[in-house]
Amino acid sequence: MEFQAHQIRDILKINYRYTMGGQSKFFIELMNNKKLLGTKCTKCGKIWMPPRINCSECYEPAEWVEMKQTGTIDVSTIVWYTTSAFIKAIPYGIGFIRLDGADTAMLQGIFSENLIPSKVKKGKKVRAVYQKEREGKMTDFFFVPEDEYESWIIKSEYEGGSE
Amino acid sequence: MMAASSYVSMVNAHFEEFGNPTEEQMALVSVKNHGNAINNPKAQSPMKLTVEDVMNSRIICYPFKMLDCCLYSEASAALILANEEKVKELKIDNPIWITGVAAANTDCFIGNREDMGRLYSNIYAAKAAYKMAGLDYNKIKEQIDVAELHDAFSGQEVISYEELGFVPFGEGGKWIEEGGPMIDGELPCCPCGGLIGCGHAVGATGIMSTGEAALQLRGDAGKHQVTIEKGRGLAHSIGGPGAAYAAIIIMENQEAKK
Repeated sequence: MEFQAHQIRDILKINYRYTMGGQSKFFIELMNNKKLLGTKCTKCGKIWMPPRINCSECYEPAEWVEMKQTGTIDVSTIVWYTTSAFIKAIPYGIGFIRLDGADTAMLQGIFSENLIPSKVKKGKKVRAVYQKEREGKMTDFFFVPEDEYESWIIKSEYEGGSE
Repeated sequence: MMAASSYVSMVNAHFEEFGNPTEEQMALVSVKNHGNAINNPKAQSPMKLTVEDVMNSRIICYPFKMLDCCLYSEASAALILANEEKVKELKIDNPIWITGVAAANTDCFIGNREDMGRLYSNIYAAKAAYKMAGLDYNKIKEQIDVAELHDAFSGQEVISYEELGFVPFGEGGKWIEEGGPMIDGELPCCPCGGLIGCGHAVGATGIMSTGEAALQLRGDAGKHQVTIEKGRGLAHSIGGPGAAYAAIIIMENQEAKK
Protein backbone atom coordinates (compact mmCIF):
# COMPACT_ATOMS: atom_id res chain seq x y z
CA MET A 1 0.00 0.00 0.00
CA GLU A 2 1.24 3.46 -0.81
CA PHE A 3 2.59 5.43 2.16
CA GLN A 4 0.64 8.56 3.01
CA ALA A 5 2.05 11.14 5.41
CA HIS A 6 -0.52 13.01 7.48
CA GLN A 7 0.53 16.63 7.94
CA ILE A 8 -0.70 19.20 10.44
CA ARG A 9 0.13 22.87 10.07
CA ASP A 10 1.24 24.32 13.39
CA ILE A 11 3.52 27.00 14.86
CA LEU A 12 6.38 26.26 17.22
CA LYS A 13 7.51 29.09 19.49
CA ILE A 14 10.83 29.01 21.29
CA ASN A 15 11.84 31.43 24.03
CA TYR A 16 15.57 31.74 24.43
CA ARG A 17 18.40 34.05 25.37
CA TYR A 18 21.77 34.28 23.76
CA THR A 19 24.87 36.11 24.83
CA MET A 20 27.13 38.33 22.76
CA GLY A 21 29.99 36.94 24.87
CA GLY A 22 33.24 38.86 24.73
CA GLN A 23 31.73 41.28 22.21
CA SER A 24 28.98 42.37 24.66
CA LYS A 25 30.65 45.73 25.31
CA PHE A 26 30.15 46.74 21.69
CA PHE A 27 26.39 46.20 21.95
CA ILE A 28 26.09 47.81 25.41
CA GLU A 29 27.93 50.97 24.31
CA LEU A 30 25.88 51.07 21.12
CA MET A 31 22.62 50.82 23.07
CA ASN A 32 23.43 53.11 26.00
CA ASN A 33 25.85 55.67 24.59
CA LYS A 34 25.50 55.56 20.78
CA LYS A 35 29.20 54.84 20.51
CA LEU A 36 30.91 52.48 18.06
CA LEU A 37 33.69 50.47 19.66
CA GLY A 38 36.34 48.59 17.78
CA THR A 39 39.37 46.76 19.11
CA LYS A 40 43.09 47.32 18.65
CA CYS A 41 45.59 44.48 18.77
CA THR A 42 47.95 44.92 21.71
CA LYS A 43 50.82 43.51 19.62
CA CYS A 44 50.49 44.55 15.97
CA GLY A 45 48.15 47.53 16.46
CA LYS A 46 45.68 46.45 13.79
CA ILE A 47 42.28 48.05 14.39
CA TRP A 48 39.39 45.61 14.02
CA MET A 49 35.90 46.86 13.25
CA PRO A 50 33.69 44.86 13.83
CA PRO A 51 35.67 44.19 17.02
CA ARG A 52 37.58 40.98 17.65
CA ILE A 53 38.48 39.99 21.20
CA ASN A 54 41.76 38.56 19.93
CA CYS A 55 43.61 39.73 16.85
CA SER A 56 42.75 37.36 13.98
CA GLU A 57 46.26 37.74 12.61
CA CYS A 58 48.62 37.43 15.56
CA TYR A 59 46.15 35.92 18.07
CA GLU A 60 47.17 38.38 20.77
CA PRO A 61 44.49 40.09 22.92
CA ALA A 62 42.93 43.22 21.46
CA GLU A 63 41.76 46.20 23.56
CA TRP A 64 38.66 48.34 23.14
CA VAL A 65 38.97 51.63 21.25
CA GLU A 66 36.28 54.14 20.37
CA MET A 67 35.81 54.57 16.66
CA LYS A 68 34.68 57.53 14.57
CA GLN A 69 31.04 57.68 13.49
CA THR A 70 32.11 58.24 9.88
CA GLY A 71 33.50 55.93 7.26
CA THR A 72 33.76 55.07 3.58
CA ILE A 73 31.84 52.49 1.54
CA ASP A 74 34.11 49.70 0.26
CA VAL A 75 31.40 47.88 -1.67
CA SER A 76 27.62 47.83 -1.60
CA THR A 77 24.42 46.55 -3.15
CA ILE A 78 20.75 47.47 -3.06
CA VAL A 79 18.58 44.66 -1.73
CA TRP A 80 15.14 44.04 -3.28
CA TYR A 81 14.49 40.57 -1.90
CA THR A 82 15.41 39.23 1.51
CA THR A 83 14.39 37.16 4.53
CA SER A 84 11.12 37.75 6.42
CA ALA A 85 12.94 39.77 9.12
CA PHE A 86 13.83 42.57 6.69
CA ILE A 87 11.33 42.20 3.85
CA LYS A 88 9.33 45.28 4.94
CA ALA A 89 12.41 47.48 4.63
CA ILE A 90 13.15 46.79 0.95
CA PRO A 91 14.64 48.36 -1.01
CA TYR A 92 17.61 49.20 1.19
CA GLY A 93 21.33 49.43 0.76
CA ILE A 94 23.78 47.08 2.43
CA GLY A 95 27.52 47.20 2.22
CA PHE A 96 30.93 46.95 3.77
CA ILE A 97 31.89 50.20 5.45
CA ARG A 98 35.40 51.02 6.59
CA LEU A 99 35.10 53.38 9.54
CA ASP A 100 37.72 56.12 9.55
CA GLY A 101 40.81 54.69 11.21
CA ALA A 102 39.70 51.04 11.00
CA ASP A 103 41.72 48.39 9.17
CA THR A 104 38.72 46.16 8.40
CA ALA A 105 35.24 46.85 7.09
CA MET A 106 31.91 46.22 8.82
CA LEU A 107 28.72 44.99 7.22
CA GLN A 108 25.78 47.31 7.79
CA GLY A 109 22.66 48.78 6.22
CA ILE A 110 23.01 51.95 4.18
CA PHE A 111 19.85 54.04 3.85
CA SER A 112 19.35 56.96 1.53
CA GLU A 113 16.46 59.21 0.62
CA ASN A 114 17.43 58.74 -3.00
CA LEU A 115 18.50 55.11 -3.12
CA ILE A 116 20.26 54.63 -6.44
CA PRO A 117 23.47 52.65 -6.95
CA SER A 118 25.64 55.76 -7.43
CA LYS A 119 24.49 57.12 -4.03
CA VAL A 120 25.86 54.14 -2.13
CA LYS A 121 28.84 53.23 -4.24
CA LYS A 122 32.46 52.63 -3.35
CA GLY A 123 34.24 55.64 -1.94
CA LYS A 124 31.11 57.43 -0.67
CA LYS A 125 31.42 58.95 2.81
CA VAL A 126 28.80 57.77 5.29
CA ARG A 127 27.85 58.53 8.90
CA ALA A 128 26.04 56.45 11.52
CA VAL A 129 22.42 57.25 12.45
CA TYR A 130 20.80 55.62 15.51
CA GLN A 131 17.30 54.47 16.34
CA LYS A 132 15.93 56.38 19.34
CA GLU A 133 14.71 53.08 20.76
CA ARG A 134 17.65 50.72 20.93
CA GLU A 135 17.89 47.10 22.02
CA GLY A 136 21.61 46.46 21.76
CA LYS A 137 21.39 44.92 18.29
CA MET A 138 23.01 45.66 14.94
CA THR A 139 19.66 47.05 13.76
CA ASP A 140 20.03 49.87 16.34
CA PHE A 141 21.96 51.87 13.76
CA PHE A 142 22.62 52.23 10.08
CA PHE A 143 24.64 54.44 7.79
CA VAL A 144 23.51 57.31 5.57
CA PRO A 145 25.47 59.36 3.00
CA GLU A 146 27.23 62.10 4.94
CA ASP A 147 25.44 64.87 3.04
CA GLU A 148 22.04 63.42 4.11
CA TYR A 149 22.95 63.09 7.79
CA GLU A 150 21.25 66.26 9.02
CA SER A 151 17.99 65.39 7.31
CA TRP A 152 17.95 61.91 8.91
CA ILE A 153 18.59 62.93 12.51
CA ILE A 154 15.73 65.45 12.55
CA LYS A 155 13.27 62.57 11.99
CA SER A 156 11.38 61.67 15.16
CA GLU A 157 12.56 58.04 15.33
CA TYR A 158 16.28 58.66 14.78
CA GLU A 159 19.14 60.56 16.36
CA GLY A 160 22.83 61.15 15.83
CA GLY A 161 25.68 59.35 17.58
CA SER A 162 27.94 60.73 20.27
CA GLU A 163 31.60 61.29 19.66
CA MET B 1 23.57 38.91 4.68
CA MET B 2 22.09 36.42 2.23
CA ALA B 3 24.06 34.37 -0.23
CA ALA B 4 23.04 36.69 -3.08
CA SER B 5 24.20 39.87 -1.34
CA SER B 6 27.41 38.14 -0.21
CA TYR B 7 28.29 37.10 -3.78
CA VAL B 8 27.14 40.40 -5.23
CA SER B 9 29.59 42.23 -2.93
CA MET B 10 32.46 40.35 -4.54
CA VAL B 11 31.07 40.89 -8.03
CA ASN B 12 30.49 44.63 -7.45
CA ALA B 13 33.99 45.04 -6.02
CA HIS B 14 35.38 43.17 -9.04
CA PHE B 15 33.43 45.45 -11.36
CA GLU B 16 34.79 48.53 -9.56
CA GLU B 17 38.32 47.31 -10.21
CA PHE B 18 38.04 45.88 -13.71
CA GLY B 19 34.81 47.28 -15.25
CA ASN B 20 33.85 43.65 -15.79
CA PRO B 21 31.50 41.73 -15.79
CA THR B 22 28.73 44.00 -17.02
CA GLU B 23 25.08 43.14 -16.36
CA GLU B 24 24.72 41.91 -19.95
CA GLN B 25 27.83 39.73 -19.69
CA MET B 26 26.45 38.18 -16.49
CA ALA B 27 23.12 37.60 -18.24
CA LEU B 28 24.96 35.59 -20.91
CA VAL B 29 25.98 33.08 -18.20
CA SER B 30 22.32 32.63 -17.27
CA VAL B 31 21.33 32.19 -20.94
CA LYS B 32 24.13 29.64 -21.42
CA ASN B 33 23.52 27.59 -18.26
CA HIS B 34 19.72 27.51 -18.41
CA GLY B 35 20.13 26.67 -22.11
CA ASN B 36 22.65 23.87 -21.49
CA ALA B 37 20.23 22.40 -18.94
CA ILE B 38 17.72 21.75 -21.73
CA ASN B 39 19.95 18.88 -22.86
CA ASN B 40 20.41 17.47 -19.37
CA PRO B 41 17.44 15.30 -18.31
CA LYS B 42 18.48 15.57 -14.63
CA ALA B 43 18.51 19.38 -14.62
CA GLN B 44 15.73 21.17 -12.75
CA SER B 45 15.83 24.63 -14.39
CA PRO B 46 16.05 24.15 -18.16
CA MET B 47 15.05 27.37 -19.95
CA LYS B 48 15.50 28.90 -23.36
CA LEU B 49 16.27 32.53 -22.57
CA THR B 50 17.59 35.71 -24.13
CA VAL B 51 19.82 38.33 -22.48
CA GLU B 52 16.74 40.57 -22.47
CA ASP B 53 14.73 37.99 -20.48
CA VAL B 54 17.44 37.93 -17.81
CA MET B 55 17.75 41.73 -17.76
CA ASN B 56 13.97 42.06 -17.34
CA SER B 57 13.62 39.51 -14.55
CA ARG B 58 12.94 40.96 -11.10
CA ILE B 59 15.87 42.45 -9.25
CA ILE B 60 17.14 40.55 -6.20
CA CYS B 61 20.09 42.67 -5.16
CA TYR B 62 21.69 45.09 -7.53
CA PRO B 63 22.80 44.13 -10.13
CA PHE B 64 21.72 40.47 -9.72
CA LYS B 65 18.35 39.69 -11.24
CA MET B 66 16.30 36.59 -10.45
CA LEU B 67 17.61 34.73 -13.48
CA ASP B 68 21.21 35.50 -12.46
CA CYS B 69 20.65 33.44 -9.31
CA CYS B 70 20.48 29.70 -8.92
CA LEU B 71 17.48 28.14 -7.25
CA TYR B 72 18.09 26.32 -3.97
CA SER B 73 16.98 22.79 -4.50
CA GLU B 74 16.95 19.26 -3.18
CA ALA B 75 18.78 16.50 -4.97
CA SER B 76 21.47 13.94 -4.42
CA ALA B 77 24.71 13.06 -6.15
CA ALA B 78 27.27 10.32 -5.64
CA LEU B 79 30.77 9.43 -6.72
CA ILE B 80 32.59 6.12 -6.33
CA LEU B 81 36.19 6.65 -5.35
CA ALA B 82 38.82 3.94 -5.45
CA ASN B 83 42.58 3.71 -5.56
CA GLU B 84 44.55 2.34 -8.50
CA GLU B 85 44.92 -1.15 -7.01
CA LYS B 86 41.19 -1.49 -6.47
CA VAL B 87 40.48 -0.27 -10.00
CA LYS B 88 42.77 -3.02 -11.35
CA GLU B 89 41.35 -5.66 -9.02
CA LEU B 90 37.77 -4.87 -10.07
CA LYS B 91 38.87 -4.64 -13.73
CA ILE B 92 37.24 -1.23 -14.25
CA ASP B 93 37.96 -0.47 -17.89
CA ASN B 94 36.94 3.21 -18.00
CA PRO B 95 37.96 4.90 -14.76
CA ILE B 96 38.47 8.64 -14.52
CA TRP B 97 41.67 9.48 -12.69
CA ILE B 98 41.99 12.32 -10.22
CA THR B 99 45.37 13.82 -11.10
CA GLY B 100 45.18 17.09 -9.22
CA VAL B 101 43.25 18.17 -6.17
CA ALA B 102 43.57 21.24 -4.00
CA ALA B 103 41.52 23.35 -1.65
CA ALA B 104 42.21 26.74 -0.12
CA ASN B 105 40.64 29.19 2.29
CA THR B 106 40.54 32.94 2.53
CA ASP B 107 39.02 35.27 5.15
CA CYS B 108 35.45 34.12 5.85
CA PHE B 109 34.41 37.68 6.62
CA ILE B 110 34.48 39.77 3.45
CA GLY B 111 35.15 42.89 5.57
CA ASN B 112 38.56 41.45 6.49
CA ARG B 113 39.62 41.19 2.86
CA GLU B 114 41.76 44.00 1.56
CA ASP B 115 40.86 42.98 -1.97
CA MET B 116 37.13 42.28 -1.92
CA GLY B 117 36.83 41.80 -5.67
CA ARG B 118 38.96 38.65 -5.76
CA LEU B 119 38.51 35.26 -4.20
CA TYR B 120 42.11 34.35 -3.46
CA SER B 121 41.11 30.83 -2.42
CA ASN B 122 40.10 30.22 -6.06
CA ILE B 123 43.50 31.35 -7.31
CA TYR B 124 45.49 29.36 -4.72
CA ALA B 125 43.42 26.19 -5.17
CA ALA B 126 43.65 26.41 -8.97
CA LYS B 127 47.42 26.90 -9.00
CA ALA B 128 47.99 24.06 -6.53
CA ALA B 129 45.67 21.60 -8.33
CA TYR B 130 47.17 22.41 -11.76
CA LYS B 131 50.67 21.98 -10.37
CA MET B 132 49.82 18.56 -8.95
CA ALA B 133 48.40 17.54 -12.33
CA GLY B 134 51.46 18.92 -14.15
CA LEU B 135 49.46 21.68 -15.84
CA ASP B 136 50.19 25.37 -16.35
CA TYR B 137 47.98 28.10 -14.81
CA ASN B 138 48.68 30.39 -17.76
CA LYS B 139 47.84 27.77 -20.39
CA ILE B 140 45.11 25.84 -18.60
CA LYS B 141 42.41 26.77 -21.12
CA GLU B 142 44.35 24.90 -23.83
CA GLN B 143 45.05 21.91 -21.58
CA ILE B 144 41.52 20.87 -20.60
CA ASP B 145 38.33 19.98 -22.50
CA VAL B 146 35.63 20.89 -20.01
CA ALA B 147 35.13 22.84 -16.77
CA GLU B 148 32.28 22.47 -14.31
CA LEU B 149 32.29 25.69 -12.31
CA HIS B 150 30.44 26.88 -9.21
CA ASP B 151 27.92 29.22 -10.85
CA ALA B 152 25.59 29.87 -7.89
CA PHE B 153 25.37 33.39 -9.28
CA SER B 154 26.09 34.35 -12.89
CA GLY B 155 28.64 37.05 -12.09
CA GLN B 156 30.70 34.67 -9.98
CA GLU B 157 31.14 32.31 -12.94
CA VAL B 158 32.63 35.15 -15.01
CA ILE B 159 35.07 36.00 -12.23
CA SER B 160 36.00 32.31 -11.96
CA TYR B 161 37.10 32.32 -15.64
CA GLU B 162 39.72 34.85 -14.55
CA GLU B 163 40.66 33.41 -11.17
CA LEU B 164 41.04 29.89 -12.54
CA GLY B 165 43.40 31.23 -15.21
CA PHE B 166 41.25 30.71 -18.32
CA VAL B 167 41.59 34.39 -19.27
CA PRO B 168 43.48 37.37 -17.80
CA PHE B 169 41.82 39.46 -15.07
CA GLY B 170 39.22 41.80 -16.48
CA GLU B 171 38.60 39.73 -19.61
CA GLY B 172 36.05 37.17 -18.37
CA GLY B 173 33.09 39.17 -19.66
CA LYS B 174 34.66 39.62 -23.07
CA TRP B 175 35.40 35.89 -23.24
CA ILE B 176 31.75 34.91 -22.80
CA GLU B 177 30.70 37.56 -25.35
CA GLU B 178 33.05 35.82 -27.80
CA GLY B 179 31.48 32.45 -26.98
CA GLY B 180 34.50 30.95 -25.19
CA PRO B 181 32.64 29.07 -22.42
CA MET B 182 29.64 28.09 -24.57
CA ILE B 183 28.95 24.39 -25.14
CA ASP B 184 30.59 24.59 -28.59
CA GLY B 185 33.17 27.17 -27.51
CA GLU B 186 36.89 27.17 -26.82
CA LEU B 187 36.42 25.64 -23.32
CA PRO B 188 32.83 24.62 -22.49
CA CYS B 189 31.95 25.68 -18.94
CA CYS B 190 29.02 24.03 -17.12
CA PRO B 191 27.74 22.03 -20.13
CA CYS B 192 25.31 20.23 -17.76
CA GLY B 193 23.73 23.58 -16.88
CA GLY B 194 25.74 24.12 -13.70
CA LEU B 195 24.01 25.23 -10.53
CA ILE B 196 21.91 27.80 -12.38
CA GLY B 197 20.59 25.21 -14.83
CA CYS B 198 20.46 22.13 -12.60
CA GLY B 199 19.37 23.75 -9.32
CA HIS B 200 21.67 24.18 -6.33
CA ALA B 201 21.27 21.32 -3.88
CA VAL B 202 23.71 22.82 -1.41
CA GLY B 203 26.20 20.20 -0.29
CA ALA B 204 25.49 17.86 -3.20
CA THR B 205 26.47 20.23 -6.01
CA GLY B 206 30.22 19.84 -5.61
CA ILE B 207 29.74 16.09 -6.07
CA MET B 208 27.41 16.74 -9.01
CA SER B 209 29.93 19.01 -10.75
CA THR B 210 32.73 16.49 -10.21
CA GLY B 211 30.54 13.66 -11.48
CA GLU B 212 29.45 15.68 -14.50
CA ALA B 213 33.08 16.37 -15.47
CA ALA B 214 33.77 12.62 -15.11
CA LEU B 215 30.78 11.73 -17.32
CA GLN B 216 32.06 14.15 -19.97
CA LEU B 217 35.54 12.62 -19.89
CA ARG B 218 34.08 9.11 -20.23
CA GLY B 219 31.89 10.24 -23.12
CA ASP B 220 28.76 9.38 -21.14
CA ALA B 221 27.18 12.85 -20.91
CA GLY B 222 24.49 12.10 -23.51
CA LYS B 223 22.90 15.08 -25.21
CA HIS B 224 25.13 17.62 -23.46
CA GLN B 225 28.37 15.79 -24.36
CA VAL B 226 31.22 18.09 -25.41
CA THR B 227 34.15 17.17 -27.62
CA ILE B 228 36.89 15.46 -25.60
CA GLU B 229 40.32 15.75 -27.22
CA LYS B 230 42.82 16.15 -24.39
CA GLY B 231 40.96 13.82 -22.04
CA ARG B 232 41.20 16.24 -19.17
CA GLY B 233 38.59 18.16 -17.19
CA LEU B 234 38.12 20.39 -14.16
CA ALA B 235 35.54 20.58 -11.38
CA HIS B 236 35.31 23.60 -9.12
CA SER B 237 33.30 24.34 -6.02
CA ILE B 238 33.21 27.12 -3.46
CA GLY B 239 31.34 27.50 -0.21
CA GLY B 240 31.23 28.68 3.36
CA PRO B 241 30.67 32.21 4.64
CA GLY B 242 31.77 34.70 1.98
CA ALA B 243 32.49 31.68 -0.28
CA ALA B 244 35.85 31.58 1.47
CA TYR B 245 36.55 27.92 0.73
CA ALA B 246 37.45 26.79 -2.78
CA ALA B 247 38.18 23.30 -4.08
CA ILE B 248 39.42 22.27 -7.51
CA ILE B 249 39.79 18.77 -8.93
CA ILE B 250 41.57 17.90 -12.17
CA MET B 251 40.49 14.64 -13.78
CA GLU B 252 41.83 12.64 -16.70
CA ASN B 253 40.38 9.81 -18.68
CA GLN B 254 42.18 6.56 -19.56
CA GLU B 255 43.56 7.95 -22.83
CA ALA B 256 45.05 11.07 -21.26
CA LYS B 257 46.57 8.99 -18.42
CA LYS B 258 48.57 6.96 -20.96
